[in-house]
Amino acid sequence: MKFLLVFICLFISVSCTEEKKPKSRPSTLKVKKFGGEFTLQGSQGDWSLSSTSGKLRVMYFGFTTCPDICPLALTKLNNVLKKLSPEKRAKIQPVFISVDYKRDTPAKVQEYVDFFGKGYVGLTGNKESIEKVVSQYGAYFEFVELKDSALKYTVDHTSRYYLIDQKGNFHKSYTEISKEPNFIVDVETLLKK
Amino acid sequence: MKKLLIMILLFPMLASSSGTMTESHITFESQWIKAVPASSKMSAMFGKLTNNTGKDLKLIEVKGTIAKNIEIHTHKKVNGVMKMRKVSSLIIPSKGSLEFKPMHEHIMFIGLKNKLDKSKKYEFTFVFDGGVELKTSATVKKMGGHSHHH
Ligand SMILES: [Cu+2]
Repeated sequence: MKFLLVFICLFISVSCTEEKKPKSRPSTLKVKKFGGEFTLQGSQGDWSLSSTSGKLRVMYFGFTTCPDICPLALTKLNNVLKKLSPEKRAKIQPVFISVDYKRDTPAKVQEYVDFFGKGYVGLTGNKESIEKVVSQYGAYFEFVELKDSALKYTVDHTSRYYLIDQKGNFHKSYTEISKEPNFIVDVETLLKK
Repeated sequence: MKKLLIMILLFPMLASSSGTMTESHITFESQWIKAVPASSKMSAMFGKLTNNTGKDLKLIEVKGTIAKNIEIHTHKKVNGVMKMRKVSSLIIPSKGSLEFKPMHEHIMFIGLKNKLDKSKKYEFTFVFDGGVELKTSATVKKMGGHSHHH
């Protein structure tokens, strides 16, 4: 009996220390890595992320019939980028990806981004490629039927900016870039590399 | 600043004479229509709708010739996801106002009849439950000058 009790105590203490181990070493925990190479359709045909290697990429997922969130997001991005020197600005490639592959065409997306700023790339793709890149970057979108609306459907989506470094590694995503300095600080830091 | 002053002077809000309301009772101010790329068939209107009457007002329709369809929409952010939805009506409380602004309520134009003209004044009629109407107009502006959102 006594022996059993000792054994139980020993067992508990062992299991406790074992439980604590991962906490003190969080680096051993596996975290899903976001980002990566992708190929979508641009107005000139296939467009791959790697085609702009060497530049800092700022990526945004939206759709062209979006009434306010996407235009606002692109306007904000443009305002932030405008503050950079032309040399620094030339090292940044803004990329807008339309998740509305049903309604948007590459040409339409390109026309849409040209309306907001110079040197933007507008992309879209088919269902598979859009779903793939969205999950790669941990974004989200969903087609939602609007029965009573002439729109017929809308696209619920996350509104985030994805910063990708010169080598194509996903750096970080941001919901706000104009009021919070983090984004531009990170951009400046990465540009020095 | 000069531009703002001109805008204010340009928009005398006229309430319909059909009801018992007088022109100062309901106003739609600082209104603007979002400029869109030439091929875009959709846009939206923003502005501040104020109800100075003693009763709550229910906005049920916005009429105009700018687009095939004009709808009242709202936007909600749920767990970081932006969701736009059509609503059948909006209440503007008595002595209160409702601001149509990007990422919130907006008047949505679906199926623009022509390319938006920056020099044109587009006419609209806001229809409220009970037959009250507000005639108003708005011009096209590029988004960005307005950064009063949160
Ligand atoms: Cu809308």
